[in-house]
Amino acid sequence: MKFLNDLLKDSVATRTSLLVFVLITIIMLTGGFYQMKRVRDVVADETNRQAGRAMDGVLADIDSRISNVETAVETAAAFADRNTQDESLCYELLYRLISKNNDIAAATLLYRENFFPELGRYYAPTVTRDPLTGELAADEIGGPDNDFCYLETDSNWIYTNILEKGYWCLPYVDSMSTKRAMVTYSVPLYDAKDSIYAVLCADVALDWVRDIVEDAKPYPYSRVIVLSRDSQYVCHPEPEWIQTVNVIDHATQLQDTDYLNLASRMLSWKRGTDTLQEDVTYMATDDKAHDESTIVYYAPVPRVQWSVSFTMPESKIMEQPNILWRSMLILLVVMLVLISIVLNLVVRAQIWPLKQLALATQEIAKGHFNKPLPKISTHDEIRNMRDSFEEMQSSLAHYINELQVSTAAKASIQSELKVASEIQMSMLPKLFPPYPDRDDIDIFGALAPAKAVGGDLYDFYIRDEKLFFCIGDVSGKGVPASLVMAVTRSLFRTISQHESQPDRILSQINNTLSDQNESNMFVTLFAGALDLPTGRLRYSNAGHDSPLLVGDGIQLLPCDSNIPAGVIQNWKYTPQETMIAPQTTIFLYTDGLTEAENKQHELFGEDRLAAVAEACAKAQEQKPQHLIERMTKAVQTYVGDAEQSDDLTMLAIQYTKSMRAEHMHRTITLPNDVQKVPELAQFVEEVCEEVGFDMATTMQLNLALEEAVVNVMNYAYPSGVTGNIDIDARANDVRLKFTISDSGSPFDPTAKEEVDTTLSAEERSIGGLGIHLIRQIMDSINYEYVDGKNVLTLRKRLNTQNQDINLNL
Amino acid sequence: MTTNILEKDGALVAEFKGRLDTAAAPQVESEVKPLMEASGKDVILDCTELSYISSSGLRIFLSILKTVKPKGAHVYITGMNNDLRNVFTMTGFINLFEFK
Repeated sequence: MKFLNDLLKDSVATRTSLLVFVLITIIMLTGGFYQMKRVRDVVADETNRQAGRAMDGVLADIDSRISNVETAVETAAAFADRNTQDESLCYELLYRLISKNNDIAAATLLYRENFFPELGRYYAPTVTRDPLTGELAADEIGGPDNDFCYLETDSNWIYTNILEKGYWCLPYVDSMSTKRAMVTYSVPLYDAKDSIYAVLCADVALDWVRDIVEDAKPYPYSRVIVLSRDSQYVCHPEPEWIQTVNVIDHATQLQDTDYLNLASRMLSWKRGTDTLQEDVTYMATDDKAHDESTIVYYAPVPRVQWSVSFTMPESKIMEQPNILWRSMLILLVVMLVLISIVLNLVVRAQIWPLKQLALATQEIAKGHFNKPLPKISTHDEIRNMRDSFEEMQSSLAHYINELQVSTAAKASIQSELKVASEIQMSMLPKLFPPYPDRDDIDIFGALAPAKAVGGDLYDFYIRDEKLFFCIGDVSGKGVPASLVMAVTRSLFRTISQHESQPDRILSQINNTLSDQNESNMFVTLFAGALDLPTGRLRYSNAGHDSPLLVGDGIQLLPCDSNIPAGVIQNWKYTPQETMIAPQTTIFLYTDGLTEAENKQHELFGEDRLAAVAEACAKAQEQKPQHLIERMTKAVQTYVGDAEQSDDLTMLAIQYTKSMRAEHMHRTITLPNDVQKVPELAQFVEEVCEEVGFDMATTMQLNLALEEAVVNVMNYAYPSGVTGNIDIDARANDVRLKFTISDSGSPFDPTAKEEVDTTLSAEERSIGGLGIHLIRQIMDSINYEYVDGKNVLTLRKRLNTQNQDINLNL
Repeated sequence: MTTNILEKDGALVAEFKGRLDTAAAPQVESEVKPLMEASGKDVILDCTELSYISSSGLRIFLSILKTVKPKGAHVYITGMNNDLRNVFTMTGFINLFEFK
């Protein structure tokens, strides 16, 4: 069953063939049945007609034979008087009667009691015909030897005493010699007084009846049955049934309703046909069953009150139709098989292109987009489908191609972004401590991005003894934020190279960011410049969280919040400044710290931050790394397993300047006249001499000081205005420091862009060499505008080995 | 600070002596004018006796180079001591001039 199911599901050809096969079978079988029924009806009708014709012939024959006998006997009776009165003449009558009629087997005269007293009480002369030879013989069956009167007995034989005319008795079996089935016609003879004196009888052997019926039966296989009015058989295929079996009794005994009804109808002298399920008429009570359906055709012979019937086994009648039906069925089966095979082949041939198409499509599905589809020469649905597939194939190939290109592009963008993120992260100072050889500053920073690339930034670097630092948070997260962050960080670096004022750095960053800021990204930014020699912190804030100052206690650095950078162009950021006491740590952070969430979405908050910072301050543990590690631990404990919601960035800067003892202090004041340069040279040489510099270093310091002072002479005061320049030289164990101050207009020589010493002669400009030489020669250059004075500080480390070791302690 | 200009083997030779600082620069600048006006002759800057040079001096050297070189002639520096060479190195001038 499962196999069949699979077969039907797997093959359109098989399914279609089977479907058509079943339909054709049903249609043809229905037609065949209908046709066969008609054939059977026609055959049955024909059989009936034939049986009717045969029956008519039989009835006519029997009637004519019987009526012949009747006529002969009636005629003989009519003139019997002449012979019957004399015992010698009566045989003549009998001879004449029997000789003229071959059907008469015996003719008898039965006289009344004592008609011829001398011849015995009952006289009954008879003439019989030998059934074999046909010879006639006279006999006497009454007389003294046979002392009974036929006329007075109530026998089947003669009812003459009741009936007044000719009478056919019931059939009987001859009790004499031959044991033949017989029937007797009796006619009463009346005397002059109209009383019966004798009866003339003619015995008729019924052999001919059987012969007639046998001859006339419509089919050789028909059986013939004749019933008489006493319900007994006159004719029957089984001779022993004749006159022995009562049909009503038989039917009752068999409890066969059909049989009983048939017998009743026959015995009420009807004509017709009946169908018996079994041919019980033929069957002995204990005989084998004839279980085939049988048609019985019957008709009465009124003259003798017989009913004649033919039985016709239906199988015999329907033999030919059945043969026809069988051959039709065989033909049908052969046709169906042929049709199925042909249909299967045809359907297979029809769907072959479909199969090819399916195979080709499978190839396409595997990714072989260039696989050609099978050619189809028809213009039918399959062709349409093939064309659609071809279209789909080409658009698929096109689409996949585009997809590949865009995927590759996307992948390359992704990898480039990753590289960008790495570059960007590498931009941030990560090595701590960053200035191991400096004793005046200690810095530690940490940045934990929430996504792979973050929008937080911090940066710091020292230029000209100033620590420039910033911390910022770009709005949004991910790649766009990181791009803005990179830009911001670059801007901070480049702008602070030649701009030392944090407020101006912020202004420039703001202007650049807000110019054509179509994505409306902005950044909160805190920028500071810590003057390392003095501890003066200049700062400006663009909407960022105020840093904490962690010293003896904790204190929030007062900040004007202004607005974040990138929002409004030309915003004027307010400059602020304060003095940072030595050992104080400036703690900067982004809102990722205060807004770190635990699982209940509660924020870490400024109070917890302040509590951690205060604990550090009380324990005198303001060291940046320590502070940040404690803060990180506190946040991690608070957040627990919750996902990090924002970038978390911290930057701690501790100012660790310690005052050193001074060994040397000289000053000189010069007017703004370049012709005084030799005096400066003299001063520098004396100082160098005192701190023990060699000749080469002395010459270099000379050069640096000349460049610095000449610069001030040229630019500090307007042309024609005389002003003084104070040069102050101090030395401690570690370094020599020159401080050049003037009261001229503010001018920051360190803000000048560096000259490019790699350019060719044609490309080199004349200016910018001086400040370059100063940077080359001195360890640091530092500019401050304090109390209305330009203050330029130049430092040179004393190259004494011992002092270097001390420095590192 | 003194400057001597003389011609030797078809080349102009400038002999510098002393400190070429900002104060001395204007005078030296006027004294080397002949070097810039001469056409097509190689220039030799003799720094054997030069003890010091500031950025003002370097500017004069650069001016000479920028005028002479386009005429197809060469500017050579001779006899420079290590201290001065350091200065030239710091400023990248060492790559601009040819040294003998």
